[in-house]
Amino acid sequence: MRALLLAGLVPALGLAGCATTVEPPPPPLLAWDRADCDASPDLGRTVSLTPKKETAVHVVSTPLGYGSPCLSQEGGAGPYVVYALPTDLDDKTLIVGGLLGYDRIFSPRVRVLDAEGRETRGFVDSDWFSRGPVYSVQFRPRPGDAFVVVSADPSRVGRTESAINVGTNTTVIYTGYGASNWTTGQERHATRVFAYDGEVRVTINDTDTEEDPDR
Amino acid sequence: MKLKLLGLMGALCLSACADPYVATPYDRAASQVDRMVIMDDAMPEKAIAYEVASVGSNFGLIGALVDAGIQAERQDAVNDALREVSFDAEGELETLLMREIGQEGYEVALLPSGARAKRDWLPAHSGAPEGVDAYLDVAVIEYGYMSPGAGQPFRPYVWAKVKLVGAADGSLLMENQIVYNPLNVVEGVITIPPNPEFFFNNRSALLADKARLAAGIEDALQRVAETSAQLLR
Repeated sequence: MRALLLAGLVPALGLAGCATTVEPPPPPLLAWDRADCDASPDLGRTVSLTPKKETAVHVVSTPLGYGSPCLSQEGGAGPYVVYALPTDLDDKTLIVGGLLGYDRIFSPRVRVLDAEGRETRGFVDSDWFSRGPVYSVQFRPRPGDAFVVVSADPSRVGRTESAINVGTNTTVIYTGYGASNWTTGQERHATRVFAYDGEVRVTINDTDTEEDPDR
Repeated sequence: MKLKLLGLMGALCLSACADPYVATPYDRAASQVDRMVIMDDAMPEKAIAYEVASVGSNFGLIGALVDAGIQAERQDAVNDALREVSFDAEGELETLLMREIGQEGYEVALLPSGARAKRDWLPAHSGAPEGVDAYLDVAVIEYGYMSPGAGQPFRPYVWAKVKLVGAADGSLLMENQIVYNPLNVVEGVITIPPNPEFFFNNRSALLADKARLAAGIEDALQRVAETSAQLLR
């Protein structure tokens, strides 16, 4: 009897020991109160957009939040990141913006700078679309473009976006005679808020991967 | 019928599994387009009324055959209902595109180009009158109503491919895909979530109010036309 009790206790303790608590994500960051922000983008601290080797799709993701470098700009301060464009700009198309997260979207402002830090291109409200899972702008860099600055756009922070997302889900059902798939349709009603935190996503599409990147 | 179903499923997936989709952004200043013509025959002949993960589709070949019959019957009923309220999807989209693109400062006209041999962009663009700078080719691959599966509501659905081609040299000036109410989002494709106002719980609900049935599609086409015009801003 004792042995049986012990045998039951051991897996029970094991289960309890393996159980982990998943911390809920912090609430979206809807206010910015840091005062130690850069007056202009720090071009010495960049994230490279050049892949190790030429590839059709190169994705770079950067989480931004309260602890990230921040930038003082017109409209208010907020976190930012500077991306260094590849030197071989030919045939590149970029999608830059905030990933549609579970409950938030980083409120993005995108500017393109030349090597001296002068703005060569900005984007207006009508340039923004949901392209797949990214609230983004799309552009082809022009000769002379060197950096892409993504900073928080305070004017959009706090605005909510509601969307109905549809999809399917397949479950494998095991029976005594084998396994079969059962597919069901699903709808998810999502509400996301534009925030000072979230994930910035850059996708670089290259339509000619045969080129020499050192050209 | 089986082939048709496979085609539909493939279309709903947007063939996204293969190469990544890369759109071509428009550079209005560099393109110098003032006058454009819209190619004819943008819309498919029939609207869809498709339930993706239906119960029947989970029961092997026999289930799939039964399901194909149910799907086809529903599609016919929806198209009959749309005809009864004289809904003209082609005319509707043309009117919306003309208005929305005209509001962006372009001089725009329709170019009758006959029926498309294939539901896609035209392989070549010609026939524009003197002085036209570009051809706008909007090819709606599918439109109508879609439910993701049994027990889920039908909502309007539109998949459109939009392309602007230079009249002088055939150069590609802009290319994008727009999906209203996509079944799973695809990287790089512009997605528009459905208007929550228009939903129909089942086949009976779809057919109960024909005017509302047409209004749901009209609303989706309006969003697609607005987005097309926005891409040309």
